[in-house]
Amino acid sequence: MSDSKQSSNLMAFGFLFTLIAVVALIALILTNSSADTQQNASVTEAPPAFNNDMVVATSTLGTHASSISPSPHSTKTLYVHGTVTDPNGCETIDNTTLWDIAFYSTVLADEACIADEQQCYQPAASGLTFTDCSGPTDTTLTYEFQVPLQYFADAAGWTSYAKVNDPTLDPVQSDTDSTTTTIASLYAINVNETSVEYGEQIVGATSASGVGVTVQNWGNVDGLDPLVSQNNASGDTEDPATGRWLCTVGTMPVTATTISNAIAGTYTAMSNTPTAVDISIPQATAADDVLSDVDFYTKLTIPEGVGGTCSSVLVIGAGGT
Amino acid sequence: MNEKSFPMIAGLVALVLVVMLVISMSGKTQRSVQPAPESSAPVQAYRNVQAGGAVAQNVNLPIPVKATVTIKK
Repeated sequence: MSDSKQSSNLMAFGFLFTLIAVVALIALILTNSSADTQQNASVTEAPPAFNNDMVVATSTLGTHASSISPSPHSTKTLYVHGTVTDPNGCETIDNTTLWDIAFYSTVLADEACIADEQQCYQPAASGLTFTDCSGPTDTTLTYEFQVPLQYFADAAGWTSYAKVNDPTLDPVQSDTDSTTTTIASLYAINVNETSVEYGEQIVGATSASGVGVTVQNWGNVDGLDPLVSQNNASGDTEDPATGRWLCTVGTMPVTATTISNAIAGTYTAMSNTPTAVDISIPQATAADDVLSDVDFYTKLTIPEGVGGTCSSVLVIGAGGT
Repeated sequence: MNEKSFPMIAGLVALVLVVMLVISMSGKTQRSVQPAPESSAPVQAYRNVQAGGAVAQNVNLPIPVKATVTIKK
């Protein structure tokens, strides 16, 4: 083979290899570009999702309570928890997601209710706690938020609700979970007075003005009507059930005491069995709501044949409505 | 560049690029076989909502309030 022909062949091989190199380079670029696209696509297909295991409990991470009784004149902390999974890793949930959480009475339309301790709680998402996320390769975590349930929260079915949004996606993708529980009726009262004083009275006379007894609604029943009776003071071993007044000299019958729902109203004789006062104590709308305090009144007529000091005991129960 | 070294250099570059392409394709294949990013199957635990109305309770019962009077002569 001549030198010029050999040189031509070498040049041909050189151009062939160059062509192969260019093709390989283009393919390499396209391949890497395709890989990036694939990775981006996997993110867009992976919003966080609830595992539909929401629980309302009375202790942290506790079991589901299908019926919960509020605590009289106090708050009871409820714990709403469940699990949520993000295929991109549970560690991304805290940083790349937004939450909406609520606990509301089902008499309301939905979770977009205005916060009101009687019917709607909107805990701040910042109060959410996340546990059980063990690292970058773990995809599921446990969330929990607290609801400080007031004693005057409506007795009804309630819904706990959580929504997790992934704002990194366009359009934003989200998932929701909810469950229900019942808040039980709570008949509870408090009486402001520790004693009822009629002062000094003369035999045959009726106390001039009714003595007020203030009853506070410490539960969640609207229009509470307490039950009142008069039992005898301790020490009457002869007839403990009559509700008589015991005096230094003699006794007074239970009917010496009269009761009314208004200071200037009609007074009726007291009984030794629980009897409705016929007042309506509203359910509080806020803690220590003075509008949920209502008075009833008693008077005393002193019969003949008694002397010294007399005592009895009013017994006031939460009653009904 | 001399005429003899040109095809060798071009061949070497082509070989390197082809090897890189194969490695890149291999990596892409490995990523593509990772599990699809789907949520796990729903767990229906604790969903048994109890039917029926609220349960009434009476608390703080009874509250005794002592009443007193002094009889004036």
